Amino acid sequence: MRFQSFFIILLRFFQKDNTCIHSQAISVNTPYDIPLLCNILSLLSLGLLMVFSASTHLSELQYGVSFYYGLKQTVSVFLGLILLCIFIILPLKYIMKWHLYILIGTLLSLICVLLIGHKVNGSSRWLSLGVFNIQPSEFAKLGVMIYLSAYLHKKKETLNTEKASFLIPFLLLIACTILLLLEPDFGSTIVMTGSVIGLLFLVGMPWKYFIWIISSTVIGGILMVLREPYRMTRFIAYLDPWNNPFDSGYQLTQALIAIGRGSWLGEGLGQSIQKLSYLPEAHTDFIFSILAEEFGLLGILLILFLLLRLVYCAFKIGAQCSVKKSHFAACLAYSIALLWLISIFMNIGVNLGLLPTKGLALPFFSYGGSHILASCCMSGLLLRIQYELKTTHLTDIH
Amino acid sequence: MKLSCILNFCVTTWPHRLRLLWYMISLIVLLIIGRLIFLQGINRYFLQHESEQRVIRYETIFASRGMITDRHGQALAVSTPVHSVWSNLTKLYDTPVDQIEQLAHILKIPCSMLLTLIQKKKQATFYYLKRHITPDMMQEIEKLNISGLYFQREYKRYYPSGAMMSPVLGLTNIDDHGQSGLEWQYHDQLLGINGQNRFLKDLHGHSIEEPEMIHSAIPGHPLTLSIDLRLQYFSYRALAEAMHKIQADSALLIMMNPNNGEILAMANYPSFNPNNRLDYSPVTARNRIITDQFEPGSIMKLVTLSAALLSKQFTLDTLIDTRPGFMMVDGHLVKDVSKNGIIPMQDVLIKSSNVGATKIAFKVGQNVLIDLFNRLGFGGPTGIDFPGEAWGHVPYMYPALKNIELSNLAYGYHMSATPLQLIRAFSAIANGGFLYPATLIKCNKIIQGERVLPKWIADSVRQVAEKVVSKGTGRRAQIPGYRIAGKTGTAHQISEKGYDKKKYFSSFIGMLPADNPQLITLICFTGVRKGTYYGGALAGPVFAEVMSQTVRILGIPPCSDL
Repeated sequence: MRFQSFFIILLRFFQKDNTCIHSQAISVNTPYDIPLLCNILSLLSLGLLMVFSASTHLSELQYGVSFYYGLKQTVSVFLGLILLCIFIILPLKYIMKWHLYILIGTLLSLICVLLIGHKVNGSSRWLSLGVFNIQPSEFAKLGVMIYLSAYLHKKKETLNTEKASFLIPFLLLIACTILLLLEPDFGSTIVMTGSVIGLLFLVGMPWKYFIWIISSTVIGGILMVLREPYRMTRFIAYLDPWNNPFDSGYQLTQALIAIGRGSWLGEGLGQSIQKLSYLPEAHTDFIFSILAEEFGLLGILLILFLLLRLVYCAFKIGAQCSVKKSHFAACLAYSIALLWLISIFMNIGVNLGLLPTKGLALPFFSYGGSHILASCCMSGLLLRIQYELKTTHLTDIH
Repeated sequence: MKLSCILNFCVTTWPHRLRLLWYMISLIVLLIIGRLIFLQGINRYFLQHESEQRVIRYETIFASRGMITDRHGQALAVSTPVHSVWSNLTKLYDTPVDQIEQLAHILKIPCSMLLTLIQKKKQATFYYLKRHITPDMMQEIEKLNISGLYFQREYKRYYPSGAMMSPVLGLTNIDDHGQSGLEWQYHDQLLGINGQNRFLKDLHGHSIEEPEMIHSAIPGHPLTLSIDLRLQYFSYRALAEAMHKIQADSALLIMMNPNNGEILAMANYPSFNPNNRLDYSPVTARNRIITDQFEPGSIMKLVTLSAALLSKQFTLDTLIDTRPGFMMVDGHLVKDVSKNGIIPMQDVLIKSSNVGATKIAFKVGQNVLIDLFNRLGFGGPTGIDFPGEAWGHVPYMYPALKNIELSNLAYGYHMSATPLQLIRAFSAIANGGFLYPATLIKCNKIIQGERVLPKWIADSVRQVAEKVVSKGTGRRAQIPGYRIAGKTGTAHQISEKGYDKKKYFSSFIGMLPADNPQLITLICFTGVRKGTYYGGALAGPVFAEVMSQTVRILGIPPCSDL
């Protein structure tokens, strides 16, 4: 009982916020979840602010102007808002209808990036589209999950009887994993694998399969770590970063120093010292550390709350959809929640030294156009599902 | 039950597996928060300390070294701010070659040398490219805008007095530390305390904010010498002129105030230009007045005469038979320059009779003579603060000296002394019998001297010495209108094979005015090899020249009754 009370306190926090605003007059007039939208928008704006703050020094060094990265991110956020609006308007049934094309597009883009990709830091993750560089793996994660949701929706009757129905998702997962690992993009691979397994778990995959899959992925992961020497050094550095703080442990120790400098209340916006070339990737994968340095524990808890509230909302919407027997919407909402959740936990875990270092963006915060656009798509989808849940559009899919 | 109601509202309506997942998520969130509290709360002191080690840098503000001035405040050694250029060679390694060429051109270093240096020491993050560059050079380098070049503000020692004071003042090294002379001796006093700035730097070493001063630089204390630069100037010039006419190793002049031991001028010739290191040689850098010892020769007859009076066996008029102008002592010949016959004792000094001095010494005995030598400070320190001071040598009272040795002692051989010891000892004769410690530092308080001779003996000897100048060997040191007491000395110098027949130590000691001396000056020429070598003929005119300027400058009135 006592153990449970921890969760209760934590959950009450969520619930209170949710109900308080929810019960206001706003939601009576509109079927849209305004608090959720505010949550998304505040995350987007906070993220933009942090990119401005964390990238100025690097931008000055590289381009001689302070806001090169910041302004680029602003453009991405605006494009993302347009995408968000499109997905709010777009009825879910079309997505359901187009799920195969989405999958084909996803796989094609992943193959394209391997063939004509543009190399940064030894991995070809970017497709050059003239003005913009696109990172297809960010969209691929969503694409695969959309297809999977539609697939599970179609198979929902036979899911528990026909054992082969779990085969297709796994073949798909393996194919994508191979494509992602060829880039290589270890972070996206983990997020995708985790999300697929998580989704299958939620839709009721038998426990024995589940144990089977978990053990095989863990073994696969270990093999992958052992095969590539750079992953091995990263792994050792993660175990004891202070052993070699100027070589293999450099990035992690600098991240930990940034977090430690933040203390309870932080140094204040723009006062970070670690972003002054000390912490590599301060504006992308390690923006969380800069966040911790500038806003302290208090600020981090606020941001953690905003991020988790988003995930919670997605799960809640999924749960409500599954009650209403709208399987596709439920799976999609779960998928979105899982994609975000795993990215957040991975990124924060890496920043805090709880997980080995790997390149993975923090949703809404890290610099990078593709993941912001993907997150906006996901936000738009989520808001659409919520909208259709409130109105009766969901039944269209049945 | 109420709590479970809330839980119910929150997730219990959720499907079973989703609820399970949510509990797992909550656990992970708790883990993250715990880790955050650990890092930001408990472990932050360690992390902040690590950060400070990487971020905080201290910068030295060099303090200027104290100024050395003469007794009237004229600058003798000053520190001027200059810049040194140093480089982070790791960064310079990436600089294009044409920029390196320009840099080498400005710094006047061969370009190939600079390039090989950068190649060889590319790991060095601190390397002085050139110390003490001119402001023009610094501006030109700044215009090149090469990253990895830095300037350090330092001080360079500059000596306005040039060569005339250099052996006395000594030198500092490139780091402004005293290496010789007074710069070495008074290093602790002259040395300033460096200040410190604290600043935060980014990874590339740029300062993030305005440096915070931990403590400011405290300049070193100034040092006021007893030297009078005007007298020093005339002394040095007179020595230089004299050295042009003769062939000698060096010329030394020391001028002292006999009433308190202050040295007013101390000139060595040849000397070196302290502002140009190429001019430096260990031979010319030595302050020979303090570091070199010589057998003084006849000049010591002043002491022999004092000993004679002290023993009460002689008066100034006691007759001494110097016939036939030479005598044999232990098989050695002791000889006078001229045949003097039977003379009163004072004429031993005036005519500088070696035979007479020998006879006095035999009668007085070695104990009285050596005791007086010791009391006058021979064979011991003069009290001056100067590195490398020589003490000279005086024979011991026991065992008994051979006759020839005692004879030699009477006219200034078989012992050695530095010019400084000589002038200090003869100051006692000038000031009525007091011995003062010699000093190069201006005295602001009255110093009590140590009485070493009764006043009547000092006065009597001085009266006789006045006659040396007026009618004896020191005639060429006369200055019209002034009473001068003095004594000449000429001694063979020692070379590798005993006494060198052609190498002389010629000296003249003079006191002025003779009735109450204000100044005592010793002029020595060492290693005189050709031409006139008699102290009177060589050093006397230099004395007259220097002192006639000195009395004018110091305003010492001429004697009225002459």
